[in-house]
Amino acid sequence: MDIVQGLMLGFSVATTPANLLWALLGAWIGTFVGIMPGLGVSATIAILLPITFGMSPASSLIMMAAIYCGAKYGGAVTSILMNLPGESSSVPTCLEGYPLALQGRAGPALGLAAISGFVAGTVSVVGLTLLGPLLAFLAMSFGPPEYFAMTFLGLCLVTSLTGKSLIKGSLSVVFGLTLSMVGADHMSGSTRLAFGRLELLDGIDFVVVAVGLFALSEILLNIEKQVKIKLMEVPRQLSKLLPTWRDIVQCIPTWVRSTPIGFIVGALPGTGASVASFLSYGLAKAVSKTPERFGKGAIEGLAAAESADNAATGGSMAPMLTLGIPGSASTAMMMGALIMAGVRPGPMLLEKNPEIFWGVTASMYIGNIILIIINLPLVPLIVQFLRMPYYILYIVIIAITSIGVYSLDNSMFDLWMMGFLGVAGYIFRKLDYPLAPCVLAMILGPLVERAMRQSLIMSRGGFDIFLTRPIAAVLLIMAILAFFAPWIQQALTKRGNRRRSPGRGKN
Amino acid sequence: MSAGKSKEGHQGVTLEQRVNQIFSILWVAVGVIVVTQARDLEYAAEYGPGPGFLPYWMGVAFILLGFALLGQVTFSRQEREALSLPTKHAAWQMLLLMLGFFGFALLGERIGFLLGIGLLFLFLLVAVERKGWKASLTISIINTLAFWVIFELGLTLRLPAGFLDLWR
Repeated sequence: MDIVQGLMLGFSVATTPANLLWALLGAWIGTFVGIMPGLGVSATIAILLPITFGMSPASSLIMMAAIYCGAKYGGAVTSILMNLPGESSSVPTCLEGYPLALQGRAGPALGLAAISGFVAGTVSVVGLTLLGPLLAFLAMSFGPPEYFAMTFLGLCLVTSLTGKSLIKGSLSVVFGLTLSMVGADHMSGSTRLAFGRLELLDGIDFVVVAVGLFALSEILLNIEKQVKIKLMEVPRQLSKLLPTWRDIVQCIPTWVRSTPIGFIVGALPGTGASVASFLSYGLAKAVSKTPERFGKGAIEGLAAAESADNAATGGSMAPMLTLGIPGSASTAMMMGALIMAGVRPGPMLLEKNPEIFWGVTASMYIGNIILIIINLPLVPLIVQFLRMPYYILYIVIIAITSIGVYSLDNSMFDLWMMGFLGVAGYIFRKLDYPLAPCVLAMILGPLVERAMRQSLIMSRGGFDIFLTRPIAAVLLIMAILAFFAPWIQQALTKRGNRRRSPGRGKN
Repeated sequence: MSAGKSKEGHQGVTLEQRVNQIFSILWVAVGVIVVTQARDLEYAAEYGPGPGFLPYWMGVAFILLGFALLGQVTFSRQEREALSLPTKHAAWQMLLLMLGFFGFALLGERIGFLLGIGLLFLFLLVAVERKGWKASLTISIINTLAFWVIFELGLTLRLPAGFLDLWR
């Protein structure tokens, strides 16, 4: 199936009334999540995971992708109006958006953020359309050793790039891998790490871990932070929300630069939208003829951050769908939802379930159109959501997640587990343990283990199979380099500083 | 996390260091448990690793990383941001929230899931959020009814009815 045929199939899937409705609902939920401080996109997908069980895999992924994209659009609203970044990727948006709002340009800033998101989001879906099949084609030649090396590389990248400590990142991965091993071994049938508990024989459901670690711990953190919301005025007329032509012309070179940055960085496991938006913002400042305006309301700084942040969505979907390697907690949860529905993302997805890949890709084009409508003319309406008291929101979240987690297995044990993981998640966050590697490891754990054991069966127990196959060897070397990258970088910086300091002394 | 630097305790050990030390020892203990469990499983099967292979090495990894963390937090001279502790009020709210949640997990099946959710709502509003009884009761009843309509009637989920099962 070529790209044109694929897209036609995709649009036929995405434009069914039910899927359009899921995309619309997802876009609204995503925007709501984006504008609500203290409600992250990963936590929301975790909350909604149990609800997606009754849906077809394509529909559930369409809704989750719309939430994912919607949260990026919505994130700009609180950053601009309240100087409150919902996620770290929105920090550069605050740096320029809030000063613009203080100058009385909140409307154009919101408008420009939405337009930047639309341009970059749409271009990144074009990237996904073109590169997705190519990536899947390349990955078709992969056997278990290459697959093991690739998943291992994904885990190493996530470990080294998220969080502040390599040791804590590694512990998070090991914790996730260990949780994934609880229950019956898929190859031998032996029960592992169940501690005699009948409830653990089937393993720990990924949803329980995701909801506990992300959703519940986030509620605890928000209660600790005593989230308070102070809202700035938003103009009600569309004309006052639109940026001027001068603003748009000023931002075109920024969009051209930032969109590919967002897409490429978003596709790398562990880097994601935060790195993309900071990198893009930094570049916009570096190439600007008037860098002194940055931090005081430079419109191209806002465009750089927003376009890179939104372009990362298409980029991050590509490896998840075509290689089966999610790069972030959000895409890991989407992958988990597909696996639970009996669909295995990876190179064979395009062969076996083309309607899912192309349906989601097509829905992201539609989703971007829905989102620009929600985030431009309807923005005065959506900011009213911010008037909802947080205590109502979190209690409803606890109730919904409890019902969802209970209905997985009709087991109260899962609720206990969710509670304990919520407390663990809170402690992990307080102590700077990154949570994304843990969730990723839990999703990838069974795949890593199966690929490793199949490889060793192929080689009759010899570990040299990972070194004698060139692609696997290169990927493993990259994995080791990626893992130790922070230490290598630290050592190089120290060496550089040492070299510079005697020179300074002489001067 | 607050931006301030760590406060030193009596022996020059910061609170953040102390907590991290405790957790590193906990990780080592988890590792020992995992290794012990893995030793009961087959380490190597025909031509390849058995079901105990990966758990064993995960246990070893926990132990090694736990010790590495212990060494890092004990001997590192790097200045870190201080561990921000919740205020007394926030800590009390969090504790009550978790107590309410575990209470619900304990009683949910006996008293009925939806009734349990209603009581959880009421408890969280009154005890955690300090809202008035009237408002809390109204919000709880409205939400419980909404959950009943959405989940039991709409999505036809069979949630445990507890003693209310008699009226079904």
